[in-house]
Amino acid sequence: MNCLQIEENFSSHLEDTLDYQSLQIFNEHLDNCEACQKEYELFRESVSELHQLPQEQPSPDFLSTLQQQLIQEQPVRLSFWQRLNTQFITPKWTLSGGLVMLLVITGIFLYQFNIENKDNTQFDSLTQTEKMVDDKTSSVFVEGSRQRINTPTLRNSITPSGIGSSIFSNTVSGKPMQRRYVLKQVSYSTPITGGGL
Amino acid sequence: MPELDDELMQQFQKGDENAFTLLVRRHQQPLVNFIAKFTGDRDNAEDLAQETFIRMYKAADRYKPGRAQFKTWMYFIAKNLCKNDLRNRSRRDKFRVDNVTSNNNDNGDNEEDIDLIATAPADTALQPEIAIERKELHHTIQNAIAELPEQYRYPLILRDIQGLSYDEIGKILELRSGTTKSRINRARIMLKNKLKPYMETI
Ligand SMILES: [Zn+2]
Repeated sequence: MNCLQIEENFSSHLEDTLDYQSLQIFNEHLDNCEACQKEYELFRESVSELHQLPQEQPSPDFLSTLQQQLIQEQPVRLSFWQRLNTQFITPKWTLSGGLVMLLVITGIFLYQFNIENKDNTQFDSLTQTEKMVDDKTSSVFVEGSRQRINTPTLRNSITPSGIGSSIFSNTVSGKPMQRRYVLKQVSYSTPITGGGL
Repeated sequence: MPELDDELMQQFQKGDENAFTLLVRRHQQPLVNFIAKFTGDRDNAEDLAQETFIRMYKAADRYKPGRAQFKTWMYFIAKNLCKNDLRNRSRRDKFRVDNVTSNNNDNGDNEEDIDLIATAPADTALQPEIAIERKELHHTIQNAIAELPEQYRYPLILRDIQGLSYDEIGKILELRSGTTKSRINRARIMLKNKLKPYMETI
């Protein structure tokens, strides 16, 4: 090995991955070449300094800030809930008021739905939203005084730009899905998980 | 009971938001550190780290456990965000960074010394001069890293600061194992050459 080849093997030597024969050659060269000795010493020191660089710490509110941002990233439906939330002063009222409203709306909706189904002529005229909700199971659950809306399929439909790799994802496509008719969606999905409330 | 990242990710895919929170808690520090070391901008690092997690959150359904580790996926996204971020920086910002860098290169600067004393960590068993010297060295190293071309900077940071395996780095950077190894060796040599004038005086 010449000096250049020795240099190419600095990392392998440092990390102890040279095979026995190469190791012998490397050591022998180093014993006889002052320049390589010096360079290798500096190399080791540099790497060692890198290992010792102080680590940056995230700020204490990193997680809470992230959670805030994720809430803001949620679709239109959440802002509906947030709007609802701000209209009531006490959380208890928000909860029960919201629930009563949901149940009433659900009742009306289911009633109409039944009639439409009996007619059997209206099926094709189900609104787009209803079909969409049917496809993408959405659930609404209420925890304490706070509502959380969980929409795993929605995460899927909102596609971040810039992430696209054969390793990590399939295709990157699509735009944020337009969610309309907020009220209907919520009311329709209530029976799915509403039982436990 | 420590759970594997993959298991947590699967729980999250089933709708358990707490699982994702746990993943964030687990990886926030290395992620912020990685971005800060790569961009040389601590404040911006926090924002980019947040953005990384948001993207992972949104794309969680496309995550295939076993196909890629959570960690490599995270660094992969962060790397792309850093890339875009650097690209998008205005000329003025670049000028500012260059100025800072060149200021730090002339080491005997008095004002710089005062700053370093003021910001030196309150630790230490170390003597004050040594602490300052260390701090200065860290500064120099950080600048030397920042000067490395991206294709060398990424693997170097992932390997020697984040402590990832060659295999993981190869996946994140989409490099073959031979290329990963030679890039890292090359990057270390480049860094060594940049630090040489400084190291020899210590
Ligand atoms: Zn030699």
